[in-house]
Order: sequence, then C-alpha cells, then structure tokens
Amino acid sequence: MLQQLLDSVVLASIYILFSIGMSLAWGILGILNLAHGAILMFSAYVAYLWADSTSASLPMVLIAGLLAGGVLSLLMELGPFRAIRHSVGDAEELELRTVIASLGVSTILVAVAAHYTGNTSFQVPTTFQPTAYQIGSVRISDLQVIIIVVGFGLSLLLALWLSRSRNGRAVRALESDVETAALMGISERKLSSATMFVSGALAGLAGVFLVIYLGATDPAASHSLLTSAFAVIVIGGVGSIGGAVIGALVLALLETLVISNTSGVWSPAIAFSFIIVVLLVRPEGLFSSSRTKVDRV
Amino acid sequence: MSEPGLDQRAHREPVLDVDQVSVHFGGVKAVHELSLALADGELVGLVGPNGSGKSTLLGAISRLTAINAGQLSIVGQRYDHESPAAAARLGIARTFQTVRLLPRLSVLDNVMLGSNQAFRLEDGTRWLARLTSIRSRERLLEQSARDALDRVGLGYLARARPGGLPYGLQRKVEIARALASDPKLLLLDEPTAGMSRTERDEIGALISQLSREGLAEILVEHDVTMMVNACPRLVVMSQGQIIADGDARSVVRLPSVQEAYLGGDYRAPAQS
Amino acid sequence: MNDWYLSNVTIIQSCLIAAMLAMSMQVTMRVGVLSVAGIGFYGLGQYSTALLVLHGILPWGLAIAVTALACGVLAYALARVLSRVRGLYLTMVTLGLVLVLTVVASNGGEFTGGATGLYGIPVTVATWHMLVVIAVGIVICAVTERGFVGRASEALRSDEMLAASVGIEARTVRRANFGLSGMLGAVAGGLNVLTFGTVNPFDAGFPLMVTILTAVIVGGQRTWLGAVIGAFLITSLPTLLSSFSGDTREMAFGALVVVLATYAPDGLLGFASAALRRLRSSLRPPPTMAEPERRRELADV
Repeated sequence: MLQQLLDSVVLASIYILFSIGMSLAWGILGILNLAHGAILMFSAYVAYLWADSTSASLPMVLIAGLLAGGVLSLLMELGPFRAIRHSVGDAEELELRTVIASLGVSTILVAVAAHYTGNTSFQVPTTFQPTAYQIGSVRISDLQVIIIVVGFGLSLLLALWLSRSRNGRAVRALESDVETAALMGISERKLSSATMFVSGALAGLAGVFLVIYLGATDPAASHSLLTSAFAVIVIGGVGSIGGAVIGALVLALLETLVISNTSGVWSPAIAFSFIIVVLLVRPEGLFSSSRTKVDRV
Repeated sequence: MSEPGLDQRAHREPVLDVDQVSVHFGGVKAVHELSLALADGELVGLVGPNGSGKSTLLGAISRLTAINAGQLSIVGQRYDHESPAAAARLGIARTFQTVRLLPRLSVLDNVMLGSNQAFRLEDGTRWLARLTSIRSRERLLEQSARDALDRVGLGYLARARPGGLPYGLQRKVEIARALASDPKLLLLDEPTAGMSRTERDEIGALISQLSREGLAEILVEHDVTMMVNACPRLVVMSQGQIIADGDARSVVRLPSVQEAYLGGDYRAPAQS
Repeated sequence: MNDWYLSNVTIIQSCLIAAMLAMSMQVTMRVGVLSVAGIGFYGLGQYSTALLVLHGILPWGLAIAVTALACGVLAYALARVLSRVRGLYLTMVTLGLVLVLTVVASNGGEFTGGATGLYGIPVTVATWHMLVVIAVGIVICAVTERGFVGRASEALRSDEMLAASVGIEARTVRRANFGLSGMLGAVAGGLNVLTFGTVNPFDAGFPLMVTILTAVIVGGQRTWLGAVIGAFLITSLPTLLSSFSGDTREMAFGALVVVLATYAPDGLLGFASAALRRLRSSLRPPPTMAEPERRRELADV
C-alpha cells in the first residue's frame, strides 16, 4: 500500500510538470494546446535521438528534453498561435482556430515520430543507473526522489514566483486578458513567448522523466497523456498551480490503484470519468476562480 | 389640467415592475433594493454618473445579469427566474452599448433575428406544425424586418453587410432589430453614441413617436441635455440606487442630482 | 463509365461515409462547438448495427434505422447532461468520450470481440443505399442552415448574449444539433459496417477524428457542402498519392490543418465564396447615405 502511495507520488510529480504547462498557457493566454501531449512525447524522442548518438548523462538528457519542449512550444506560439490571435474574428472563433491548429501540430509531431521510430516504442538510454534503497516495506530509488523533488520543487518555485514577485503578480492579475497586459506595460509578445516556452519546457522535462521512469514510450501515448493532463486541469482548475498539484495527486493515485488491481486496460477511462464527473458538478473545475465558460444565468 | 390619458395609465397594470431588485457582484452593490415601474407608452430616461449601475439595471431587466434579490414583472407576469431568452420572448427588447451585429449575415438577416422571436424552438409540437408553413412564415418574418428597417430609414441597406457600414448606421440597424420583435418594453443602452447630429435627432424623434404609439421605453444616454429634452420622465441613479424620479426638468434641478453630477456635462437650459 | 465505377467503388463508398461523418462534425461546428462526439457515435453505430445483425435481432435496414434513432436520442440526452459544460471543456469531454468508448469496446470480451473486433457481418449495403441516406442527411443539414434556424445557429455561434437577447434558447438549438450529429455519425457507422463487414475498436479513434476534422477544415466548416467536399478530397487523396506512406500523409494533413486554421479558417469553400463576394462587390459600389434612391434600386439586384 505504501509502495503504491510512493509510486503515485512519483507519477503525480510527472503529471504536475506536464499539466502546469498546459494550465498556464490556458489560464494566461487562453490557449488550449492540444499538442501538449505530442510535445511531451516528441521531446522525449529528441532526447532519445541525442542520447542514442552520444553517451549522455541524466542532466544532459533532461536539458535536451527541456529545450526541445520549450522550443517546440515557442515555435507554435511564434507561428500559428500569434498569427491567429492577430487575425479578425471574435474570441470564441479565434479560440476554436487555435485549438484546431494545435491538433494539426499534434498530428504532425506524432506522424514524424511514428515515421522514424516505425511506430514502436523508444527508450532514452543514459549513463545514469538508478540505485534503489529499502526503507521499511518500501523500495525507493534515487530516480524517484529526483522526479519528486524536481516536479514538486519546480511547481513550488513557480507558484512562489507568481504570487510574490512583481512580474509574477502582474501576470497573475491578468488571467489571460492580454490587452490589459499591454496597458500595464507588459509586452504581449514577451509574455506569450515566455509562457509558451516555459509550458513546453516543463512538458519536455516531464517527457524525459516519463520515458526513463516507465522504461519506454511510443508515439501513440500522446493522446492518453493529453486526456490525463486535461483531467488534472479540470480537477484543479485552469491556471491554478496548487489545484494542479492536488489534481495530479488524485489522478495518479487512482490510476496506480486501478492499474495494480486490474490489468491496467481501464486506466485511460479513469481520467475521462474524472473529467466528466467534475465538469458535471462544477463546470469550472474544483479550484478555479475565473477564466471559465460557465453559464451564469 | 391633467390629461385623461395619464389617469387611465395610473389604473392599468405597469408594463414593467422592478421591485426591490438587488445585484451584487462579490461585495459590490451594483444595484441595491431598487424599485421602478413603467406604464404603457412611458418613455423614461435613465441617467447617472459612471458606475451608478445603469447598465447593470438594464442587464437585470433583460435577465442577462442575474439578480440576488427582488422581483421582476412584465405586464404583470413574474419573470425573475426566467432565462434571458425567455425574457426576450415575453416582449423585452434591447440594444447594447457596443454594437452587436453578426458580420456574416446581411443587414436584413440581422434584423430578422429580431422578428425570429415568434419562433419558439422549445415547443416541439408547435415547431413541427410550423414546418409545413415554413415558406410563408419566412415571408412574414422578412416583411416585419423590412418594416422595422424602413422605420429607421435604412430599407435600402437590406442586402448590405453590417461590417462595412458607418457606426451610426450600425446602431440604427440594432434599433431596427429590437423593433422587429414587436416588443412591449424597449431598452436602449446609449443608442446614439457615435451618431451625427442629424441621426441623433432622427432617433430622438423615433423614440418619442414609439412612446406615443404605446411602447414603454427606458433610454440610457450620456447626453443629459438630450435626455431632458426627449424624456418626460427622468430617473437618476447613483451608486446602485435611485436618487430621483420624476418630471425631467424638475429632477435635474434637485441639489442631490447636481451633486451626484459634480463636474458633469449638464448645463441647465436657458430660461425659456 | 461503368468500369471506372467498378474499379473505384470502394473509394466512392468510403467517400460517402466520410462525408456523413464530416457533416456530423460540421453540424455542431456551425453553432460554435467543436465536438468529436459524432466519431464516438460512429463507433457506437458500427457495433450496435453489427451486433443487431449478427445476432439476428433485426434485418439490416431496421438495424441501421433503430441504431440511428437510438444514437440521436442518446446524443440529445448527452447534450442535456453536458449543457453547463462549454467551449473547450466540451471539446475535451467529447474527445475523452471517444477514447473511453475505444477502451470499453476493446475490453468487451466475447460480446464486442475484444481488441480484434467483430467479423463476418453480412455485406448488404450498396452504393445507392448510401446515396439515398446521404441525400436525406444533406436535405436536413441544408434546411437547418437556412431561415430562422440558420440565423439562430449563426447568432449562437458568434454571440451568445445577443442570441439570448433576441429570444433564442441556446440550449435547445445546441441539443438539437447534437442529436443530429449523433444520428449522422451512427448512420455512417452502420453503413460502414454493412459495407465492409468488419468492425474493430480502433476504427473510431484519434486518427479518424483528425481525418474528419481535417476534411471539415479543408472543405469549409460553414456549410454542409464544405464538409462533403472536404471529405471527398481527404478520402480520395491517399489513393492518388498512394506512393507516399501513411505517416507522410498524416504529416501533410497536419500541416494543412495548421495552415488553414491560421490563414483560411473557412476552408476552400470559404475561400472561394469570399473571393466571389469580393469580385461582386468590386463591381458594385457600396451604398452611401448620400444617394438613397439609387442605392435602393441597385441593392435589390
């Protein structure tokens, strides 16, 4: 039981890294990036490519994934997202086009990865060998510790930055009102570029961790990962880091329990069931405050 | 000498009855325990400094803004639990502060959105029955829309797209759309903003004419002078409450009103 | 002519089925909802029809009809349940729904044939059946694009507050469109299963979602015709470009979707009709206030 708890926390940490990026992009920029799952997967793929040709250490591989994810996300912003934002149309229409464009990018990324991996799974070999320790009835490896520290640590740092630092507070106050940002002197360009880069970088980090932790991944995993990230955001609320942490923990715990008690085929359904239940009861998520589409009358 | 019409109006049920309505936005009392009644054909001007709650009140009346307390009735029928669409079907039509026209439809189609009102989508069986007379129905809708466009003098723009029109004309189209629904109550939220002097006078004349024809109207405008000249009755709001309600020219001289408007744009008209 | 038809019959039938699926997606897009529920109902329609026929419960014609009606009602009920969920949340819910159906179908054991699906369904549907069905679908879609329903949909899509202020009950229109979408998807699924004889849980998954979305975006999401054109293009293109592998095709589709969503959101049809409109308006000067008489004559042309 304790072991499962530990495993859940590790998985949750990865989910957090993955979901916070998507949540921030949504909350601050109003962009629902459906390519987020593909970015995670592709960053891991880039890390694999790099680790395959050189003998890479863990930090190098993580950086590779981080950069790959960040750059991919940034390119999406500099390309289609920005162009759409600056074109004519009402908010809903632009939002829809952004979502559709992100689906297109997702398709491209998955297809490229599938093409070069032969649509099979790939691994990221590193020089890092995890050592396991036994504490009571629980086996814990240093890899797991690293994942937990990085995941929860980064989210704590991000949350602190958003609530304490001046820039962070300004960003927080915006909640996706990019025009007000301009009035407040924050460059829309810088804000959106930075947000997307960070969002993708976190996803890339999560991707590399995931591959190393699970041993392998494949291009098709992008879709179920996307659903998981969405479940986390729905539970925790868009733009809320604390909510994402809780959401990730809950989801990871449930998935771990289901996987260990059934043969694991039902686990994608969990994320979705959560989404449905939460959205039916509280359409704006359990912890969110604004930036939602809820009927108010 | 009192007009016989006025006496009759006093006995009839008010068209609009706002009873102790409050609208609170997270601690801010945008509208607080406000009561207001309009009779048939009454033209009321609603004025107040920015933030006094005028737009919120219009939103509450049209049900686009939820109320926290109080009752709303139209022609004696309570509707404070109805959706905004239901309120519209009960005969409340409005224009908005920012022009809301659909760029992909022609001007005529936009106005027909108003005459759409007679079509009740939620009543399944009646809908099926109407399917058989779709074409004649469509013709009726088109005719009422054309009539409404003619009333604002824009019949010739039926096929145009609203996007290319000057602001003032767009606002006129909005008014036409509201008229096309044959409303019992018309809410006008700064309808003449962006209009030329001539257009403003035209709209002013139209509003007065509609009132004489028996349509109850609430007019919100920033141009207080225009309001005093156009509206027999003036309601002044400040901080979510009504501070004055009565004959326009007298209300405007009240010290409480002038205080609320400190530095405002109203100049008492020269002695006539 | 007959030879051409016979050698291309599979493609033609696939195009028709894809067209129905594309219409199922376009129908909700015209009220501003991006929903892939139609794909989910495609899968449901496939399995439902297959099971009804395989177990001898209903003859194939009734099997499709009953399936279609049931899915229409189900879709309507789903819309009711989800009525408070809006915008992107709704999109994600429909996405998740499709994924879950896939999971359920592949874990259905004997009943659904598990991961390998069902085989040996009698092939009873001919092309002319499909043509009739799609014609009916087109009529329904076309009629609901015009007149008051069409205007109501456009208002809902563009400006919900405005729609409410003119008495349009958003919920009803949305639910009706959802129901129609479910029916179209289910019919497409039923026809597919009775044409090709097999069904498996991965038929109605992410790749199909992307393909159909691409079709709608490419052809034009504003009208049923765009959906049909897009579907025909996307379905027939692979055979024309059969020298390219599946992945390259996917890459091309993805790139196409990105480019169109960014620069031509109304697809080919939208592009064409906008060009036509610009041509027409450049030949006719815009109306001005100064010459109301002359404008009145010209405007009615």
